[in-house]
Amino acid sequence: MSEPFTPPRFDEFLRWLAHREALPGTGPPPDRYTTLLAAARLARDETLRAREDQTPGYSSNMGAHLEVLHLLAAASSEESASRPPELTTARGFRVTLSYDDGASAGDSTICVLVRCPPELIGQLSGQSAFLWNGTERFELGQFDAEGKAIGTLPAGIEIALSDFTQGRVKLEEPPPGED
Amino acid sequence: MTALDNRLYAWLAEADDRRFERAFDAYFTVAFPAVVRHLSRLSRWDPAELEELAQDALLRFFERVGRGRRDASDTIRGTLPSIRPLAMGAFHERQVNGWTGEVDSFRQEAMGFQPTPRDIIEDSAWKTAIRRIAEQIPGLERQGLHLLNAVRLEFHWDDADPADSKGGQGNVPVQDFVESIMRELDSLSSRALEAQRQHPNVSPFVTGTWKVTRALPRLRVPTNGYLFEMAMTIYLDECKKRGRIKRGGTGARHAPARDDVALGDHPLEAADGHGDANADGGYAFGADEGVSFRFHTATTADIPVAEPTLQLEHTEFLEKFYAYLRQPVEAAAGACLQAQTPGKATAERARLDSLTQKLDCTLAVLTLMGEGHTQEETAAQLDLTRNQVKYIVEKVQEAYLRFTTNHRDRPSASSGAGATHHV
Repeated sequence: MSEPFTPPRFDEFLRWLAHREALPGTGPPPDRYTTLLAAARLARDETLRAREDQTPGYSSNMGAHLEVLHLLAAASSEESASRPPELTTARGFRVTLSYDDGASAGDSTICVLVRCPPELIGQLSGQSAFLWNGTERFELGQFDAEGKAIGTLPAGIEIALSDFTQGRVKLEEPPPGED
Repeated sequence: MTALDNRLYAWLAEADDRRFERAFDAYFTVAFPAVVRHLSRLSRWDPAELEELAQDALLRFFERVGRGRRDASDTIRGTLPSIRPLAMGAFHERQVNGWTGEVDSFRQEAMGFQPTPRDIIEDSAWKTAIRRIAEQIPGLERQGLHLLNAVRLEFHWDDADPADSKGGQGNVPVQDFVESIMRELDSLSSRALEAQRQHPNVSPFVTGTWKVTRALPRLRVPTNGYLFEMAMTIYLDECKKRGRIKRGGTGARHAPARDDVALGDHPLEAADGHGDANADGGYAFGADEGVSFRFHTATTADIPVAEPTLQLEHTEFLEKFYAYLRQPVEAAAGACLQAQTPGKATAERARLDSLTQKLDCTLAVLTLMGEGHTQEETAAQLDLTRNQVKYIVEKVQEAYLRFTTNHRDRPSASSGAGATHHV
């Protein structure tokens, strides 16, 4: 006569499962690895090429410190013609455009105010903000203790609001500090 | 951003060849077994077959994140300028200009996304940024389709083929409209010529908008979540090709066997849809986060775990409970394969992905516990709270107790072949 079946305890199930889950992982044969490495290299090459296309002036040697942030949308362009248009970036930088007296939002901008996210003020204070207009890069000024950087566009450079909304103008994030 | 994603970007963004190879090796030693393990939880296919699938998934993933993304970006960049509004009024013009502007900004944002070294070390805002980029894709796709549909309505293009007797049905899918109008523009049908006479740029508008809409999803920022989705897609495609799921027959959910616990009590089903369970427990992770569970499970696989000494009947019993744990995932895979309409297939696939993540999370927790880690250590390794770990363990333990009770009460049902192992 057989003994009644006693199921394993829960902790035995856990140990059995740990052993079972550890089974796969012998790894693929070398030829498979070689194939995948070649495919990965192509993916890497394409990624770097795409990045260079995307970021004028980008050099791989510069590491990832050159972070170009794209202006997403005119946050207030439709609210009021009297208020300067404000734009935001993915990381929370806010960009405000100022115009000559009498100029409208559709005209060229002469002054750009950049405010960094509050949590980055300490890190970015004293560092310069840069704006890209197509392939041209120019400095706006340094972030002050309040996290603001104000720049006047160099003579001859004209940027209209439509340039921002069409993604032609980009804000370059200052490199992180050496802390 | 999970640790595995950090390893992904370590080689994907590495220009130096030697450092690239080292970084890729570090990625591969974890990613490959993780994909195999992921598939093995869903399927009982031969391990060699799963390794083949894992290789296919990685190859396709590399192609998509490299050449595929770049091609999509080039396609969009090259096509957008040809999409000019038709003579359909100011509202249409605003919509078209707004959409093309948004698509271009999105393309630049998605292709320009790159982690800083600090991001690679820390979690930072990566996860949020990737999710935000991914979330923009469906909206932009919808807008593109909406623009095409508006043109279809403007042209009263209600059937795919004017010679077709089904004419006038309305609600023709946008793809049918695009194919139909392009075909007729080539064959110079009278209504196509009339459309072109009224809107000379109709051809570049329609083909361009369609091309861009189709290319948008390929701009997705690379993550391992994407890789695991791809592996699942390849597996399901292979199942379809073979005409069945190797395990689970046609894929239809089985009537519960006598050993099965009522499905409502299943640990994976219990937390389904209980969003507020996250505060004290339950499963709380986003679309790409399930990967971390797999990653941590994979790393702990290096720790030798002594196989418990069990009788054959005990091992069989544990296999049955393990199969029970996977049951909702297998049923969801079956439902996915049997879905008849695209909408149904999308919904079933979302459910399958959600259940798979829960299963991965559950097994990762149980595995670490089985290796002798405390709940606190397990929580720390998997980036969960202790309450979440406790919740998961309790749910599975409750199910295990019910399973054993059920088994004791119905000893004759313990074997699928008639419980012969009890005598």
